[in-house]
Amino acid sequence: MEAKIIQKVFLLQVPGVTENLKIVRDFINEISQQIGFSEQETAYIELAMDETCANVIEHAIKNDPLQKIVIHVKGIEKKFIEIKIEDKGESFEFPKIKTEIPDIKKYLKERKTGGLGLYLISTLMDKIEFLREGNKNVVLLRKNFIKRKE
Amino acid sequence: MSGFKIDTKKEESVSVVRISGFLDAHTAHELEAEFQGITSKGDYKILVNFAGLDYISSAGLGVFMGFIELVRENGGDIKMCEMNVKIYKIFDLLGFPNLYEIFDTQAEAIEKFKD
Repeated sequence: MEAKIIQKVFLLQVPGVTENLKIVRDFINEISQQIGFSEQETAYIELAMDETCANVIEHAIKNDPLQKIVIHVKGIEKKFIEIKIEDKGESFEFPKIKTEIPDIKKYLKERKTGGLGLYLISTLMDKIEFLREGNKNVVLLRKNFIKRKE
Repeated sequence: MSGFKIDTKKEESVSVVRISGFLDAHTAHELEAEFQGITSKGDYKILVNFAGLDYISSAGLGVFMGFIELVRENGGDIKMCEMNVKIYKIFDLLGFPNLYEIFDTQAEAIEKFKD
């Protein structure tokens, strides 16, 4: 008998304040484990999610508790996880994706830390995409499951 | 409850900052204020003990970057110790081990400040 492939779908909505980053991390951590990602991969997915939401809170929502972050997650066990993060905050200029390791010493001189989060997201995930859909900012993240050798 | 705790004690001439819980965009300002307090007293030998820390994001990493120049310009340093593997991997992704000295034990790190 063929095993059924079941797509798991989850939804979380939280006020867009940094206090809720922990709730967002716990939420994605549970789902990532359910899909079968290792502890280390789960930690990376959690971090990428935190960095994305922290960016949205800082630049789009400006820590306004009346604004919401809506997170849709879907995944198939041992296949992938896809995350869609939406907000109706200010439209912000979509950052260029940096895939080169940042020159930390240069960062120090310029006293900037903003690009670090984005670098982490693009390093830790297989896909990152920024969109503007109507009055919403949308960020899409995807991580593929890689089968480990036993 | 913020989920993040800081406890600073002077050991010999070193300010040992024990951090625990999670260091993210919500709690990073608490560590920033602590470093501000330490450096404003003219103390520039800072050792951060990570033993109780479960999580760090770039907002937390940014605090170390924000103070390292000031501290080194004044003849001190920010050293780190007792970091768990999960957190070390995040530091490593950003090349931080080239920039900061990270020790297995607090005693080793304090000893290094005497050099």
